[in-house]
Amino acid sequence: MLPPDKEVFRDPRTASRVIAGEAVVLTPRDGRILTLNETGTRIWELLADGPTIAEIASVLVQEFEIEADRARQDVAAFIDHLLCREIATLERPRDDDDE
Amino acid sequence: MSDSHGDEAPTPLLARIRRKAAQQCVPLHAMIELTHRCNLSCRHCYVVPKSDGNELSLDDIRRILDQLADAGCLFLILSGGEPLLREDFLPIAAYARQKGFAFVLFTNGTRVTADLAAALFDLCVRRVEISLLGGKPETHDAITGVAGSFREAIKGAELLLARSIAVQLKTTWMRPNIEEAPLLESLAREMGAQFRSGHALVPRWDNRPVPADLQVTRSQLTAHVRRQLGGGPYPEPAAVPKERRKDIIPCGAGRTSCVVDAHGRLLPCVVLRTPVGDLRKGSFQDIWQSSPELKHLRSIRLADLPDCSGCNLFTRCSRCAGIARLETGSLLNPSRQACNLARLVANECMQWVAPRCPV
Repeated sequence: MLPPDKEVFRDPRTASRVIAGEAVVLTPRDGRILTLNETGTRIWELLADGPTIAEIASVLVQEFEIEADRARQDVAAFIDHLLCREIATLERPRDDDDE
Repeated sequence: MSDSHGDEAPTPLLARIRRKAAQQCVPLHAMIELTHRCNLSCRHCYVVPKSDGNELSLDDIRRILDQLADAGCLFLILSGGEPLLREDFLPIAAYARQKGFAFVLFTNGTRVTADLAAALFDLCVRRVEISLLGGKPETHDAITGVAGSFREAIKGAELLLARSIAVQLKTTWMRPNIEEAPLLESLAREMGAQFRSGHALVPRWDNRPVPADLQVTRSQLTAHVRRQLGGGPYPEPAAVPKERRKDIIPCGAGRTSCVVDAHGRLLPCVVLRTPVGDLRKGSFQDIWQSSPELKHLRSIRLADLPDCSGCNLFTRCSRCAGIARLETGSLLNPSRQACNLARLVANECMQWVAPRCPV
């Protein structure tokens, strides 16, 4: 399982938009369209800033009244799922301004 | 998490997303015409090329992409003219990627290089659509007016396919090419490309009509439809209850889709070219929310179309509101092109008669 201090980012190759409260995400290579439920959409929004697993779980505890341990486990499992689909990454995306 | 594979074909998941977007007038789909210039001179093309130096700058385009993203646009088409004539095409595409668009490139394929294909692969372009106007080089080149353009388009497609980029060859059926449909389809299949085609010939922006010798003949169209139907049986389209039909939104232009032309004018679609605002002067969101023209477009329901709303051919019809207006002057009238095609298909299927077909 991913450690709580691990930072997670959206994969920069991913196309996505939150439409009427629902995240619509396209996988980079095969163009598969995914939609995320309310909690998944909130996590997706948070990933724009590269939070840690613990930080995401903390937000979910506050906003969705989930117990802390359960939140950390669920977030880690969900992030694993996003990593498998290559729509999230553990590598900080290179900023174009870094060039 | 639910998912759906493939392009913008109407999968159930995408249909649901589109319904949500339609309910809230989210511009899910947008096209940016990066230039109206082109290196080909296709006889049927509706674009009137201009080299007036008034094209959107890279900064303009970045700002417009920012605003489209904020408004909820996800599917973006980079089009033209020939968009690859812009020297800053790759920075534009890179910015579209950075802003999270699923972007598609419309091109004639002649300017595709190995380096461009590599860059597009890195940018995860969703699809590249290449116009191919004949199954034979001489047919394509006669329509484009440029010798060798067929060979260059095929070469461009091959360079993209070699990078595993999804390529869609597409054509508009005209008198010189409609009989080459089997050739075009097999060419695409053998290359590993997708293929799509359409019948709509759109008059040029300067109101010059489509040349008469490009219009398909009745016998050509009949033979083409018969071939497409493959001798049947042809599935009967799903019936739509009358009480639901009246509320159907007949066109998403200005509701879930829009076009930005090369000068920054916001248009409902590529055919409805009356600008509803100038994105160099105003913000997308202001125009999108307050334009009276867009509000009028969004108010139209199938029940408002006096002839079409009761037509038995409704479920077989691919009517375009923009073409209907060009043909008749009204957004609410039937489109002769669509009526002819729908009636032909229905007659060939021998399932329907067209007692109320108005044309």
